Amino acid sequence: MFKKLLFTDKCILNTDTNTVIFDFEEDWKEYTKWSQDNIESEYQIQQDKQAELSWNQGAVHKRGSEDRIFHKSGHIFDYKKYSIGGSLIIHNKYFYNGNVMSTYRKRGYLEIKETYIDNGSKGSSINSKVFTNNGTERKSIKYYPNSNIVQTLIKRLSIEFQIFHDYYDNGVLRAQGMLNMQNKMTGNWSFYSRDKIIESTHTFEKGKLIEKSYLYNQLGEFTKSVYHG
Amino acid sequence: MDKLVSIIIPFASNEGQDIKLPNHPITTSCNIIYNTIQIINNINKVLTFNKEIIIVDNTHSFPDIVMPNLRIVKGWQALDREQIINQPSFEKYNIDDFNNLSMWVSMAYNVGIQHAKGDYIICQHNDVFYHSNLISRMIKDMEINNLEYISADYKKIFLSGYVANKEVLYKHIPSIEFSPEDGGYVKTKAIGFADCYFFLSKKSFYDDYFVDWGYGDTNHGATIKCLDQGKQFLHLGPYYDNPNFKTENSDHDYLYKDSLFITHLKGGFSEDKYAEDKYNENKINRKDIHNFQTRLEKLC
Repeated sequence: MFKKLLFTDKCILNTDTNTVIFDFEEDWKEYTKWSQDNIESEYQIQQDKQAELSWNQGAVHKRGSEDRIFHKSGHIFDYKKYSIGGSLIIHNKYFYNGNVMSTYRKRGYLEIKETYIDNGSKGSSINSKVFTNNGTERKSIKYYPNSNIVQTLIKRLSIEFQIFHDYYDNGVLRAQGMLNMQNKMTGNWSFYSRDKIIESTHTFEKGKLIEKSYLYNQLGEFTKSVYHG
Repeated sequence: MDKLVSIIIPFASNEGQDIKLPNHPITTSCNIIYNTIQIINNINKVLTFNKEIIIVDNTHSFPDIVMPNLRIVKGWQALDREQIINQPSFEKYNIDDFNNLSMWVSMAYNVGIQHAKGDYIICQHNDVFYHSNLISRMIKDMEINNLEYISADYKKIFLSGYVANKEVLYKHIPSIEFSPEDGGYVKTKAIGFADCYFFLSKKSFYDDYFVDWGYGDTNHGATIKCLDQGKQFLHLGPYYDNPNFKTENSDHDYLYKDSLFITHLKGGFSEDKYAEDKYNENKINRKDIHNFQTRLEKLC
């Protein structure tokens, strides 16, 4: 068995005899024959070499405005990109298998953060996405696991209020209403069934039920109102 | 154990279609029949005590088959309105809305309880798989600890369920905080509701109670009955689908005293997982069907 050396292709390590063979030596023919007869193994030792080079003892690979760090597996672990002014504009993190774990990117004044769930050989699936502006959250989206279907969406409307949407896993709207900045339900709220039929409506003030709630049956027909004072 | 246990399992092949709900998916009968038969086999194999299995056929579409310990009785859902109203026990149940799916599920259990001869009754779904025979131990523990029931799950209190019953619930959870997620629910660990995925009690539990639907789903009133009467009960954890509790996985395995007891396979009666009509293109639903059938085949 052979092992490629890190910084040159002009010699190879024979791991059975623990000797280095140069390309001008007679034994080099033995390696080239092995390489032709064992295409997969040749590919693997090339991959191992690349992984070790990439890992670089855990040190950062700097190239222009980009920084990269690799796992020992050879997969990228951390990626950063800076603007000309030196501020961070992209920061991605990765699972050990190379699947993306989280991303951060800056677009104008907006910062976008995404988190992902590791699905092994199937890659990653998005878990959440948050938009912020100068540290203030403008919009956040939570996704159903292993799909790109939105579960909840919260969007800031003003300095006081944000709108909230909740969805079933079939994409149908489940609930909508307003939250204050302490995430307390406020104003009018509506809830719907999986088949888009109204279930109930309520009014809140700072998380407390006020005025009247209206309840409906599974045909969407009004059944009951409840007074909250 | 010398006591007779009645196991009541509702069945419906097309529950949404039968009550003509708009946009409601149609279920595929053969899948549900097959799965229900597998669940009966599992009960006969694992629960080796004196028992009767009562299938309550709500849509009158379960095959007239013979299996050990099995009785098939007809539920009310497929009857004409007039036939239902003329049932001798109709007045007992306060049926106020014939279009309520939870009501039909609950009524299937109530019809089964009418036919049950056991000292103890288990209400369960037709997608609950037993890993181990812990029922005798549970019944013994219930007698020692004066437990009125043992149930899976510990369901969250939905916002609309709270609103419709707030006078009752306020007694038990005076400090209310709501979350808008999951259709709106009460954020509290103080109370969770019983369900009928698995619900074990004495038959006498139903002397002053019937399986209800008034809190938004089946049998939640069992918990309220016990709270009102100051009686003890036990809910099996972990509490899946209750966001007040964190669960590490989505397998719906329930434990009793650290032993794996049942798995709720989440694909039977009232789950609508077998919809082919409207949900045919829904990949998540198809994946759920596949997962359910794979797990069922593996376990049974």
